[in-house]
Amino acid sequence: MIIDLPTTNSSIINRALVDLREKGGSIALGRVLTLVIVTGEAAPEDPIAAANAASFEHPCRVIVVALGSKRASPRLDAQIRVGGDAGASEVVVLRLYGQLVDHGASVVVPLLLADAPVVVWWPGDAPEVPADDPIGMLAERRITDAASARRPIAQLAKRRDSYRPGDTDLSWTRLTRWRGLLASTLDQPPHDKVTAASVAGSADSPSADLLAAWLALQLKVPVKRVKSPAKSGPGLHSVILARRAGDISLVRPQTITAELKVANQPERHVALPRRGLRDCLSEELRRLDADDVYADVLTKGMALVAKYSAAEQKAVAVTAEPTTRRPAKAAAAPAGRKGRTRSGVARSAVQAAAAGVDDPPKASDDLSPSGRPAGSPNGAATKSPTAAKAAAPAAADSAAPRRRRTPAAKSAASS
Amino acid sequence: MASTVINPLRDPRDKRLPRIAGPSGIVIFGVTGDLARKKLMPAIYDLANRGLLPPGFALVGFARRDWANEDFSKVVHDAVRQYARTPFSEEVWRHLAEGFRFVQGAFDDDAAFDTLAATLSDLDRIRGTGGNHAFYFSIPPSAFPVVLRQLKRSGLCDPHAEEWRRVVIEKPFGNNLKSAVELNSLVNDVFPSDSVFRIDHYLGKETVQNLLALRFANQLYEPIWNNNYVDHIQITQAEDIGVGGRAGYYDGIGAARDVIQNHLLQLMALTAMEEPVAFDPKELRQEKVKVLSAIQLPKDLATGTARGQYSGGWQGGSKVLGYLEEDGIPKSSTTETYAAVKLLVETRRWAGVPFYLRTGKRMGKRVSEIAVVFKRAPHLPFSHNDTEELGSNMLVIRVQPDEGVTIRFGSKVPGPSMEVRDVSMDFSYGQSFTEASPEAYERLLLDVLLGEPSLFPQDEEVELSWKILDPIEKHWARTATQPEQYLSGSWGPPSADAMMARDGRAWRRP
Repeated sequence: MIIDLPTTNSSIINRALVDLREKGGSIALGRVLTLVIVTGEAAPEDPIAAANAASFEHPCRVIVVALGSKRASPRLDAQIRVGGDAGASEVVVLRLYGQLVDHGASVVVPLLLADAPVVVWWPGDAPEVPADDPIGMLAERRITDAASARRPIAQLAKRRDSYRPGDTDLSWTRLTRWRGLLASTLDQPPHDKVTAASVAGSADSPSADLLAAWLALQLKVPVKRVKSPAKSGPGLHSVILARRAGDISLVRPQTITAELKVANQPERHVALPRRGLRDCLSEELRRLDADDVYADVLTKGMALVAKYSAAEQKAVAVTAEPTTRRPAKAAAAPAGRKGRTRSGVARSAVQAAAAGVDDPPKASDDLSPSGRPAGSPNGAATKSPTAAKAAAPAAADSAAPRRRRTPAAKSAASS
Repeated sequence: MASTVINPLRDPRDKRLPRIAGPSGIVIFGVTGDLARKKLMPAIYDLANRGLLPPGFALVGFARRDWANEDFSKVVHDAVRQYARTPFSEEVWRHLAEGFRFVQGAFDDDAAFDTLAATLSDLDRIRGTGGNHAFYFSIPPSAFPVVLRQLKRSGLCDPHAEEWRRVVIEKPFGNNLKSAVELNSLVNDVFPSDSVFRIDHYLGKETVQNLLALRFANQLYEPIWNNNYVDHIQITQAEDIGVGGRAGYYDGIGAARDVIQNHLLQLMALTAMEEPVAFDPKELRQEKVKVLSAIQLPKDLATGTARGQYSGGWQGGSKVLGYLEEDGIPKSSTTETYAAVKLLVETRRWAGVPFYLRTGKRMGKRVSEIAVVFKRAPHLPFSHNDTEELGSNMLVIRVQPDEGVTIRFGSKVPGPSMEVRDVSMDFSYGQSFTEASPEAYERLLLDVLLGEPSLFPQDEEVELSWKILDPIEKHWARTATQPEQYLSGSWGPPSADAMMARDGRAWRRP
């Protein structure tokens, strides 16, 4: 049922809602939250459809604030939708014109459900500081969507600068299944340390940036963000986690199927379609507390990735070796930081992995007490950790471990 | 797998990150049965659709039927189309179906189990199931010994290194203490007890888990959850259907063994137990075991229990047969289709508060619920006339269908006179969190694959519950009388009402 209330105000809308409840049964009593959607005047129907679909999981009152032209005379048109036209929710569409555009909050406040959490969602461009926006201030949870903004990467940077607890972005939500799959591969043996990672996705994909930042933050290793050429399509393409025991790669070519490859295991396929708005919104509404992990990824993780990439560019400039042409270079840990304590063996694995070399160097695990692989007590391979240790402190140029690795790998192969 | 290794990608604060099962597969014995078709296959698909199954998951069916892999796929496809909860996605289905295999054979056929072993190692190689397999026994308990023996013979029950093998069994877990102990030792002979998962699908229901949240996450209920305020507790599980196709299994077992021993005693344990020190499997089990071991039977079993058999008649608009007229039930059967018992819990919290448990077939409607009935207010400032229609306050936890919680309390009837009448306040899962509640089997299958044992009763709980039920069964067997007949579609035999009336109480109409 759709009821139009042209040129109206909040108390008339409220009265109409109460009337509807008395006539049609207790519609709004089981509602668990108020969802406020702030959009432009044109076509707010996509977000409404997503909200209606999500309302089957989270019965809510949806208030759509459609901001019209500021030049018009001040006016409020409302429309109430219940029943079949509103999923399991009740939708109030408010069209604001003239000076009223700047005072949306005054119209929304009387319509909020008592004692229920308020969530604000900007499906397109969001305000500079969502938490300071008059409508944003009403909410416990503020959902933005960097990917649908006009300039996604710039938008994400804004989100980082203006972050307050309770902010969240749908480009983070879209990653949940990717993150779940990656985390579950690391649940399985061998529980080997990840030494480097790379994330490839289109240049304007905020999700790819966030995934790289998440990996950098949690794994504490260099993470390379590869910007795929525009022709390879939008969004995320692949993630590679390098380990001494072999790489893990999760690749999604331009289909909805992803390939999961783990060294020494058969290749597996899994349906990994892009998530729809409905799915993302449902997930967002499931938890209404501040997302601390997102906060850390946004405010700390992104900086880590930027630091690695800056260090890498510097390394390129300094060394200018023939190897610089290879993407391998990129993942090298910057000298003089944490990388110093790590053995050169680890670093060479990073390079091998990033370069797409399949077999990792056959060096012993530097965590093992003996420091030598079983079966070759005096083999050439045992020398390599020592060589690596010698090389590590002086590893200003990342080519040193590479030079060392080549003979070691050769002799291991020949022995 | 429970492991001490810390996964750097799992941040305890990260509530979004789903727990996806590791590489694994399920083998279903008795895959042609109703349970497999209506519950297990749809649950597996729903899990896949929600992205909670590992890539490369494998499902192996084992049955006598002469099927090829494709026939099996077709059967699963139809079952999924008909019964799955989530929408059908061609893509998800295609990847899932690549992992379907069917092994044809009888349980005593060595060759068939060798084929099964070969199939599984083939799957490990092609699909990457990593040697992790769960064996789901959707078969009668009489077939357990032979299947277990075969699993042992073919080495299927022995995991290597980091692999796991688990076995999932359905109720009944024996039919008395002795047989339960035998069954436990038989299964534990082949699988260590932490690899044995006993499915009691009631425990997978959201409402049952919510019972713990309701009790232990709120300030509102715990202070009144004791004998100062609670008069008694009624736990009901009623079905509107008769024995139907289960006649062969049901006769000789009866309602008490079929339902009270597992579902109702588990619900009672969750209702009555003390707060666990932590919400983890070990602590939960400890509290359940504690309360189960504190349960006492009434002194006189003749007046503290009731049983009945449904008679033919009209139920909900159709003519139905009585129990003794059903196909495959002997005319002289003394198996009860309705059982009610009164139990006491000897703890400080519950002393003097009886728990009434009842279950029956062909009752008024299909319903499961826990009703906590409170004492009446010690003093009413209103005249008797005003409060004539006021009953006891009540908190009802509806387990199925229409999952939710109802509170019943008195309220003034609008008008000039002071008249107080019962009203109810309702919380319904259907309204507050509509579609998210997964099927019980989804939750339980995922827990099996993750090796998460909280929702599965263990040996000790099973044995304790038989200790409670055995004396009642013995008493009934000694009386050697025919259970009292009750009309199909009614709420049980008059003796059950008399049992409550003796205590000055009455059954609630669910």
